[in-house]
Amino acid sequence: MTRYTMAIDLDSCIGCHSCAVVCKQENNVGLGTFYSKVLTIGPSGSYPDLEMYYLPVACQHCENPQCVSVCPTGASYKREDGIVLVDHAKCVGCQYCVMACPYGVRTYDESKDKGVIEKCTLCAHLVDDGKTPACVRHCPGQARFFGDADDPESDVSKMIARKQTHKLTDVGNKPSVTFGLDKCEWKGGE
Amino acid sequence: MAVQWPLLVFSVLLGASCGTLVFLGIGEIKGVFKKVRFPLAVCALVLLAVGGCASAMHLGHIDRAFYILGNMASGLSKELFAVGFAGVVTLVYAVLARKDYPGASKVLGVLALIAGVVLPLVAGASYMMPARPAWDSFTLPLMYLGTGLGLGFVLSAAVVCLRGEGDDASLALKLALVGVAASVVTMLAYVAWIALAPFPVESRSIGRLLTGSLALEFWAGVVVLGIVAPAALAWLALRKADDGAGAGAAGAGAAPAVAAAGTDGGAAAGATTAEAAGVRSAAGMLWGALACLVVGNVALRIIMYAVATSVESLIY
Repeated sequence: MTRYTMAIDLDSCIGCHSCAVVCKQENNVGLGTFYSKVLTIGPSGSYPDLEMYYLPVACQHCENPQCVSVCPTGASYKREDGIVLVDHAKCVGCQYCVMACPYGVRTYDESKDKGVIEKCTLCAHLVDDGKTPACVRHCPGQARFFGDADDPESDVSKMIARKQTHKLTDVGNKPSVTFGLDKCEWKGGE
Repeated sequence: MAVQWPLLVFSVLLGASCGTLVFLGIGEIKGVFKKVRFPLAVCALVLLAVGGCASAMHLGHIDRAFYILGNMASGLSKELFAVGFAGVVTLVYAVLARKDYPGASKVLGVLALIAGVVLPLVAGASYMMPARPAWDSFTLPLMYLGTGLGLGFVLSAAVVCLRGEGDDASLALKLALVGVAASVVTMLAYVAWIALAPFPVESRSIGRLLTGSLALEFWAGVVVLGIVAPAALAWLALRKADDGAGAGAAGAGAAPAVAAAGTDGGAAAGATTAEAAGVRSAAGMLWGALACLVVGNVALRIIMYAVATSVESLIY
């Protein structure tokens, strides 16, 4: 079965924020709202042994998404291919999913479609058209990989196989996005 | 997390409503509080309705509010269902309270008691989620239940005392003290959870309450107004009523001797007046305790939202 996910090689990420910018452009994300951001982790250590890396964050399209289980209307749902989405026609804007998300990557957007929840869609509209998400396509460091986690020949599986991998803190939600980091010490939860 | 005022107002009013329902249920089981059951049932219904309206203000699309019953696995769906159940039970009970149907009133009273206990637990449990360590504990629904009992019992006892019924007032004042005790214990238990919650960081630490940015809300709001003042006032109210009853009994005891002198009616009236004055004075203290409890509840919920940061707040 297809299980779409993303893997990000943090050793290749140059912190240019292109992914965050192109995400806003592709998805027409409102002013002050973000589906994706790039965080700076560090610097850590003591001089001269300092290290720092960039951490691109967005919805982790969890295997056991808490946002889906708490949604009272079924507006938040997970597709069979693993992509977690919000059906705006069903969303009542109760923000319960925002509370249930461990990562603070969902937002209540009043600027564009007032009164509903917004988040990264993994560019499902492009994926359904046989393309890759905009952030993957436009990453100048070629740090982002998209594909089927169950296919050992996919770009995602290959990156995971060759790197030390990490995930964000798991509180039972099982985040699907994988981060590869060899050159620095991972500062996250897992 | 920012304070969610519509939800905060809803939870405080819901607590007061449910505490009142439990009070009425106990009254039905013991066969007391007959004269106040209708006004108290209406009061519980109004509190629940106003709270429900306040919570609806939190929705981005009120027009889709009934979609909320779409996923009964969701805490919010369960909460709405429980609110509906409590509302219907309270409405039927209020209608029956106007007439004299002892059997039916007793059954509805017991149902009201069950609704009054279950609804705060369901409402509190809806906040339990691993993403928010400061909320992910059974002490949160217990706090919703305990503080609700405090608010509802004190409100109901104040109304009973206002009506000046001696025997009923004595039980009501004892229940008010029990309610305040439940409120105090569950408030402290929830504060203890904040100190013990997993994934500790500064934003949800107990230090933020004791000496940090939430110290005013904690010490002045929760400790002084939410715990110490209502406990003291509820205890003093009970003492005041007991003193009044004691003075009344002493006056009544003197009545036979006075009767021999031909003034028995005046002595008996004096005894009743002393008891009634004690109960009225107790009512005043209970209104004060209720005001303090409301402020304490608001303060604790402000803290509850303030410490509810997610495990990793990456974007928002």
